[in-house]
Amino acid sequence: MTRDNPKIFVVIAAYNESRTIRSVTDKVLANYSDVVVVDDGSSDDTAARLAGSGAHVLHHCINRGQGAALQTGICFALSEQADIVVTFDADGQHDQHDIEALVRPILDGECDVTLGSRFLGNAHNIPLSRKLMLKAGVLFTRIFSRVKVSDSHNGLRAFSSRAAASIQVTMDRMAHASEILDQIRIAGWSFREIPVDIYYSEYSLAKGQSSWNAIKIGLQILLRRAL
Amino acid sequence: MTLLHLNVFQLIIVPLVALLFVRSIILLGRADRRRAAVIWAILWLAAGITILRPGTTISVARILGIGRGTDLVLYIFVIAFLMAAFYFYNRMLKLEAALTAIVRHTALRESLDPPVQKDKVEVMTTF
Repeated sequence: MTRDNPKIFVVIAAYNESRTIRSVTDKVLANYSDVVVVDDGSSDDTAARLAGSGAHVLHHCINRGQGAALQTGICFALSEQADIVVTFDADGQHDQHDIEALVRPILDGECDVTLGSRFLGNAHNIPLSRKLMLKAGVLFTRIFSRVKVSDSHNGLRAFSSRAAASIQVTMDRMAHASEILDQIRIAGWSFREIPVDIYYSEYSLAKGQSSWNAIKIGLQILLRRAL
Repeated sequence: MTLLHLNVFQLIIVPLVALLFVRSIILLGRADRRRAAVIWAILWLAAGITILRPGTTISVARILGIGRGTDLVLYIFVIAFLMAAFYFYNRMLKLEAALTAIVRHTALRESLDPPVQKDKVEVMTTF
C-alpha cells in the first residue's frame, strides 16, 4: 500500500436519488478525489445531476439493486488500483467526516475492514420502529452469520484492496449487507467497528427499508441458505 | 368397454389425450426432444388410463398403502409442484446472476470508452 498517497475510492450506489446525489457527492469530493457513483438504472435524472461534478459515473442500463451496484463500483475502484474502497449511501444519511475514521485503521495496517456503527455513534432522529428493526437485524446476524457487530446494516464501510477483491456480492438487492458480513467472516478478514453518525430525514426514511421488507429480506437469506 | 359406457367427460377428454400421446410418440423420433418426449408420453398414457379406468388409481394407491386413489393423485401433484417450484426458483437465481453480470460488464466497459460528444451525435442524426 502506498502509505504517503493512498488511493481512496468512495463508492456510492444511487437509484432515483436526484434529490440528494449531487450534494452528497460534492461533500465527499471535497475531501476525496475519487468518488464512484453507480447509477443503478434510475428513471429520474440522477446521472444528469452529476454532470461536471468530477465523480466517476457508471451506469447500470437496468435496475439491478444496491448490492449489484456496489459490486460494480468495487470492481471499478479495483480496476483503477484503489488502495482502499469505501461504501457510502446516496440518501444523505451518512456524514462524510466519518470516512477519515474508517480509513485510518486500514491505512495503519490494524485491520482490513472497518464497519460503521450508528449504535456506537449517534443515530439522529431515528424512529423507534427503525431502531427495533435494526436491532432485530443485529440479532439475526449474530444467529445466522455468527458475526458480532453492533450495527449489521450500515452502508458505511471501508475495505483494504485485498479485502475488497475478495468480496463477491451475489445478493443483488438489499440482502447484500448480510452477505458482505458472511464473506468477511468466511475469508477471516480482521474488522473493527467505528462509531458513525446517521442523520435520518423524511427523505431517507422513505428511501429506506420498511419493516415488512426487512422480514422479506430475512426470509430470502434463509431460503437461499437452505438451497 | 363399448362407446356407450363412456361418460361425457371421458368422451371429450380421451380423444384429446390420445392425440397428445400420439404427438409425443412422434416427437420421440427427434433426437433433440427425446427426453422430454418420453416424460410426456408416460404422462399422457397414465392420464388416458386413469380417465378411462378411474379404478386403476385406487389399485395403485392400495398397493402403496395410501388407501384412496384421489389421495395418490394429490400426493403426486404436491411433489411435482414443489419440485417445479424449486427448479424454477433456482433457474431464476441463475438468470438474475447472469443478467447482473451483463449489466455490470456493460457499465464497466462504458466507463473505459471516451465520453460521447453530444454535437457529433446530433450531426449524425440529421442524416
